[in-house]
Amino acid sequence: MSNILVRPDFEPEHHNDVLEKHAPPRADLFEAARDILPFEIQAEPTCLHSFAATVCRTNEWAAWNGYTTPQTYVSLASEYEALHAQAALADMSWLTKYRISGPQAEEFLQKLVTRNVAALPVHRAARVFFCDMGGKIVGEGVLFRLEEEEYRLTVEGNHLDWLDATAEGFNCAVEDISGTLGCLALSGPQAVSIARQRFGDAVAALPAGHAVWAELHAAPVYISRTGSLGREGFEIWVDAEDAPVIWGSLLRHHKDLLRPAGLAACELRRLERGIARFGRDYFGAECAVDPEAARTPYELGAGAFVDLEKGPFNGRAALAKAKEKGAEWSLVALEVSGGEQANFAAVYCGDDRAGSATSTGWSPVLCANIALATIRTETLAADEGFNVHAEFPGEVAVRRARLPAKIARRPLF
Amino acid sequence: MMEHDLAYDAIVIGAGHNGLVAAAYLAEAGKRVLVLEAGSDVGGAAVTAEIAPDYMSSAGAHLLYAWPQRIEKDLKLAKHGFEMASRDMVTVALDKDGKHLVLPASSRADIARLKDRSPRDAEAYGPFMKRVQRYAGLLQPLLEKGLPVPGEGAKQAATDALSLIWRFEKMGEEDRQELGRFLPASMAQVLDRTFEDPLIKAALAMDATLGHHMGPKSPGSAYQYIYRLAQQNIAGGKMGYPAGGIGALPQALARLIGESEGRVRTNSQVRHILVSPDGRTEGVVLTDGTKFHAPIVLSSLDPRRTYLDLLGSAHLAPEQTRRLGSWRMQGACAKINLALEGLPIIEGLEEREYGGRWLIAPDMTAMERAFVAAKRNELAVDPIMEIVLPSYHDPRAAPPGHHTMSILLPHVPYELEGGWEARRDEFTKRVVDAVAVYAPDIKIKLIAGEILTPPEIERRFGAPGAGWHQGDMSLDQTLLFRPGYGLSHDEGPVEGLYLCGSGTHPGGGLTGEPGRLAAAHVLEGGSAHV
Repeated sequence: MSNILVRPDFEPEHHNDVLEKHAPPRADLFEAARDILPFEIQAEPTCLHSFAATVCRTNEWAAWNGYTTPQTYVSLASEYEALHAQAALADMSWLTKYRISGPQAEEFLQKLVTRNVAALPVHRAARVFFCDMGGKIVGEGVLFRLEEEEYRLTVEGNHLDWLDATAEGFNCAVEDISGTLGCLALSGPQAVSIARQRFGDAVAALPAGHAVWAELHAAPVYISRTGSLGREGFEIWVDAEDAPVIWGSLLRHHKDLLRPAGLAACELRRLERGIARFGRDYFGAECAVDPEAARTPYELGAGAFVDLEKGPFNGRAALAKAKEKGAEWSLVALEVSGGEQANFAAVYCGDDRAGSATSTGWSPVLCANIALATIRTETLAADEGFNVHAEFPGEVAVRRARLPAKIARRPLF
Repeated sequence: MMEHDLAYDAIVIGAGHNGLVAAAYLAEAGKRVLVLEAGSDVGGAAVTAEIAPDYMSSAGAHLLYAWPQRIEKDLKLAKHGFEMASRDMVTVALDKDGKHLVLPASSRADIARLKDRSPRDAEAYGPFMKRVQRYAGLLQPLLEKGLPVPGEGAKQAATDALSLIWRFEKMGEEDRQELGRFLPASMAQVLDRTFEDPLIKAALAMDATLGHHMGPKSPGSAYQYIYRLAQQNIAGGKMGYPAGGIGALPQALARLIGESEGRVRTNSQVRHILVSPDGRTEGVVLTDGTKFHAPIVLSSLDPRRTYLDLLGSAHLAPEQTRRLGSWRMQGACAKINLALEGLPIIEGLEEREYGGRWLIAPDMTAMERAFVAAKRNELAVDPIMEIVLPSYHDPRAAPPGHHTMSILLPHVPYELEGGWEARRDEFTKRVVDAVAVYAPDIKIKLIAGEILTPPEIERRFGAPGAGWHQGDMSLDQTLLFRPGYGLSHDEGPVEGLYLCGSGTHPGGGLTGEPGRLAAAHVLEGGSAHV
């Protein structure tokens, strides 16, 4: 089993040594690499890597959650369009996946996450948060109940150490199965019809948050109505060995309807859905250098995922206090006026700084700049509206403008 | 309906000296308190036991080096039959040639002896003690009260911090720099800079390493020395021995509890601590299934057993589980108690010095060798010892003219190469031979003896790792880090649960201070629950 915690290729100096033996490197040769901290250097391929590479015409790749994955396959526009008008298939195998099993798996998860796990039936999935003693989010993910005593937790980032520390004293096993489990996201308006053709009515009729076992080319697949790409989306969980078969078969049989979508299109779609991403829109408690930069679920607007009544769990006392006190910060979606793509980060309330936008993008379907931003809660009640100082990059000059922004309901689209 | 005798205001787990001190303070304040002891007797490692018929010795701990008179007065222990046989014990570093050293060298005669060994050291001794006392003075206020928890009582924390900074500033530049070098240093580094006589160095280094998993050359041992000094200063600065042996102290405390609204129940091993669904302590369950209820539970067991075994890590945050998982409890010791036909004669020792605390540690190299041997699970060639004659202070401890000898052996491996069972006689012989170098007649006078190996000490006294600190007293495991944020007696992981043993601030030794501070905290902060 490959565990992304262990990276045998992690020897940043190694390559330099080899080069220096032959010729002195150009001074600017490592310019780009210099900004990357050693622990961020990633080259782990997903189980679909070589198959994705054959259809990745742009050869643009992104490092994401310890894996390398196509940024775009053909063009952002066509992949975005597929997500909105037809159907798209994305490789999500870079997700970190944990298998949690044993007689006390439920008790352990009850302690770990803020949500009531006892209320989760078999073959159902739920978005969960896990917090530290101070009620700050350590990580978030989607929890599947596969069997009475077996769960799967899919997250971003590495949380094995945290899970192990929490599992102390419980009769259950926590294993990292990231390397052996592939994940394909099938999304878009035609996704349901494709699912019906290939997997049958039972899969097509799955309500949100439900999951079911199915089969394709004699390979067992676990299909869930989950994902961050849209309402009509499925996630197909399959053995890493079988994943290329499923990937190839779907793309081949539905080439008129289905296109592969890269990370860029998926990220834009996530932004339209208004879903905050761990590590980007907020820091985990264990990564935040300044503890103030870590967030509670309340500050993310995810108070509904905290069940203070369910019994003891990590961070309950602090979260009860935080709930009473009210969130100091609020993560909100912003819609910014202006008819073209703009760059911005700081968010103002009148002339005062209210917070920062963490994900921004131009949404063609909304014809607007949209963003996820963390702002001071008190500014939400202010009479003055929000605005951002936007820059429009031209060929040579940069135009600057102050653009009004308004809080948008999530999902934006 | 709850049975009346099953419900209490507070339950104390463990009747060691700290558990009993905590219970006694609560009982004095009028609380109905129940002390539950797994063993058949109270006292933990503070017990007086028979070596052979009519020969009594302090089986575990054998002298009160930092027992605060404040606790004696607060609890009026004299009224409950506690009295000290001796309050002014000196330390005697034994010399093979009979030129023994007496510490603290306060009288003119003692200084003359020091001068006789090394004139330079006699001169350096006074200033050195003054200097380390200043450092101890800086630490002392931190040990006398519970440490503030960040958040609550932050104002008090700020005041304490300011006071510490002010006193630190006031020390002067030279002292400050010296202290900066001192804290992380080894005792050997410090002493080699100051003294030349190996015996005085060894005697001073003994206080820095006794009971710790450290040799004189271990970094951080100098900190242990000033920690012990601060503890001794809080206690009044004098070592003593109680009439009736160390066991008389817990007996008096138990009497006090029994005479008030409290109760001490022996042979009652706690299986786990009961917690209500809303995360509050409710009481305890014994191994026989008996339940006792109380809104407050104090545990004098070590942090790991209290939280991981009795409470269960299900009630802990992962941060706390991690902290407890890395909690170090080393520093194993062994004990040998001997019954003697008469006073062992040591050449050059004056009459009053037979009542002292003898050290057998010829030089720091021998001490370091003993420590290194223990680290390698081996026995030291020259065992290091601290010896007390209980019968000298307490004539009842042995028949007239006869004596008992209590030998404490630090730097003994918990796990011995070859196994303790196979090698206990070899070890005993080695120790008796080593004593015979100083007291040659001991082998003739020896009538009976008992040895407690580290695993036996752990079993018999419930002392984890066979040390008496419930956790190493290094910088990372003392003060605010004992045992860690959200785990100390101020505020446990579940409401109403307090630590009151050596594993919490201000740490190990026969001081009763963790018990006193835990009780004080229950009575102040936790009074709403009682």
